[in-house]
Amino acid sequence: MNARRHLPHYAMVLPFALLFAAFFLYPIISGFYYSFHDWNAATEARFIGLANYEAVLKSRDFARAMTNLGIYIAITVPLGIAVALALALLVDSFTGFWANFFRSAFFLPVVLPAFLAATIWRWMYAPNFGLVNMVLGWFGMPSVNFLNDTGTMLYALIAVDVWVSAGFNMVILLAGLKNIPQDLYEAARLDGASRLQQVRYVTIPMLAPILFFVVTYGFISALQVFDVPWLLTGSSFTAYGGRRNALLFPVMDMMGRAFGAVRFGEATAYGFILTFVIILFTAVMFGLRAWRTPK
Amino acid sequence: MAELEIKSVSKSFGSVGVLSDINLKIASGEFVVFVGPSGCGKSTLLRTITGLETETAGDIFIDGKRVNDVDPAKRGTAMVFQSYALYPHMTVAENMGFGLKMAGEPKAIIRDKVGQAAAILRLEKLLERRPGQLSGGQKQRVAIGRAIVRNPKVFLFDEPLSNLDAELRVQMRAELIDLHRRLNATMIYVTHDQVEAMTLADRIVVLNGGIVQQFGRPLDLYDDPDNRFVAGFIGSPKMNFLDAVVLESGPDHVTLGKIGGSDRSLRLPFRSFDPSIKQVVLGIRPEHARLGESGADSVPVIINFAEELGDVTYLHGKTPGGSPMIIRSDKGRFGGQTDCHVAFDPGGIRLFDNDGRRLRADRN
Repeated sequence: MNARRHLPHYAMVLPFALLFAAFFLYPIISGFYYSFHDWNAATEARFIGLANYEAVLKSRDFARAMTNLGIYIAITVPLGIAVALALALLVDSFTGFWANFFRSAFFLPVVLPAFLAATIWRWMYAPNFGLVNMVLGWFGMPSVNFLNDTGTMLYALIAVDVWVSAGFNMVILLAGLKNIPQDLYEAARLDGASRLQQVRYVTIPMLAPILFFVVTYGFISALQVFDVPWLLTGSSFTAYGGRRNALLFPVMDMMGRAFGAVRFGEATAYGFILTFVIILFTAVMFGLRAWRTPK
Repeated sequence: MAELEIKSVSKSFGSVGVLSDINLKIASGEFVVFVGPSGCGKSTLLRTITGLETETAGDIFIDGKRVNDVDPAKRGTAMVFQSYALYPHMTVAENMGFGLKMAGEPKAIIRDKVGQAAAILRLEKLLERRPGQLSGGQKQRVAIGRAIVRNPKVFLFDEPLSNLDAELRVQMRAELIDLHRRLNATMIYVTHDQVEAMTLADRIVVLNGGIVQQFGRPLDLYDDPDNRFVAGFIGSPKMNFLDAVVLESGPDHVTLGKIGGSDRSLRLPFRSFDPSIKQVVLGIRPEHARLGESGADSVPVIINFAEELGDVTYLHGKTPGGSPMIIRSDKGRFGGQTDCHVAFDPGGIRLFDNDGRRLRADRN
């Protein structure tokens, strides 16, 4: 009786469930299986236990990719959110035409295809004739090869990623700003809070749930960074990561091991290590949130 | 405690005028209530006093000092918002001490002052709670406590009881009166509820359309309104208004006919009635109208329904001309008859011209 009553519900869920099983569940399970096997797609898979995990964790490229990722996350996430918050506050202070104009202008990079954004920035970073070097030249500074100098490559990438992601975070934060009751600012003003103190004591605490989402989402996105550094360095499956692996990141390394070196078992193990890091990080974020939320 | 003076203050939002030529002088320690219907400009006037809105014209003085250009935090005012405007992420103590923290006061002094205000408002046990854990009445007290801690010259209340239920409102009204007595502070209170205005105020400012209709003591406004708006706004149930024509007038009287569309006439003592006025509106409060026998000076009324409140009964009816009429009857129960005659206490009759201005007898 109960099952018959729920039949239409199961029928409606079925198309999604089938697609999910075919394109997510099966690859995850089979990937987990292959992560314990030596497999190059052409030969029979051979069980090798944790050897793939060991190979990944002990490889020099993995250490380099993780180091790059650590620096990248440590700078990109806080800087990206600070820039997005500043832009949101700026846009929020305008009304009418200018509010719409700035919101659209700052959101534009989000809708640009990654290859286009990367191409624009490759041109901007180009030595001698690139816009950035041209501006540096006006101040008498020497030309910098941003995408080929190992000292600047990572920071050049961070600037691009902040530019690309700021608009998305800005729109989310802007929606949060609109939900803060105006009378809290008025009360703070009467309490003698300056504009900056109002941001510190009213805006940021009131945005906490949205900031939590933005920070968590920012971290998860940053952990999976791939397309922009790949395009900026003109990488291929056989040659990636830029000069002296200055822009080598885990997803890139995983892709190279799979489709360049054709070591699919090792690549799936890499994927599960990365997944574990992401889950661990997300759990820490939720734990922190639960700890900070008043009982 | 401070004197507040508002001189020729006007306020417009773009081309929309909200306040027009407001002039008020509020004495030190006085409890003044701004009352009026929604959109009459009372909250705007309060916000202009505190500096959250900038006046388009005119001057505001607190203790004789012009404060137009003074920052809201430095005017010596503290405001209690309708929504309470408590910072939800701060504890009660942090909410109350935030103004002092912004002023750079040492923590020990903040703790002392918050403790003193909490004692006045019986909030000691709630200091570590957050606003989300408080009832409406408790939030209200915290909002008042935040104002007290700042030790302002003038307290400003913007409809602070409107979110509370009826019982709590009565209780909070009594607490506010008690607080005013204890602090002896200048307080300005905005409400659209005339009962709240009557019970709290030393003096009431009645506003309508951004214009001060009358400024005076509650019973003066009730007994001696300057115009039909004040007469109708102050008092619950409101004053009855009946159209009448002037049949004749003399040096010490006026005779009105067609009262409320009836064929009855009424001779009233009235010194120096303006003979050019041919039509008037007769205002009579429900307690000054009484059921009586049919007679030349009583108006027939058809009773539609009765509100039997126990100690008093209000009869709702209509005159032959269709004017609504409320009569107060001190008899507990209404007999149920529908056709009645109503006589007026001559001392309770107020006359207004067709523009709503009060017609007053010459006192000389």
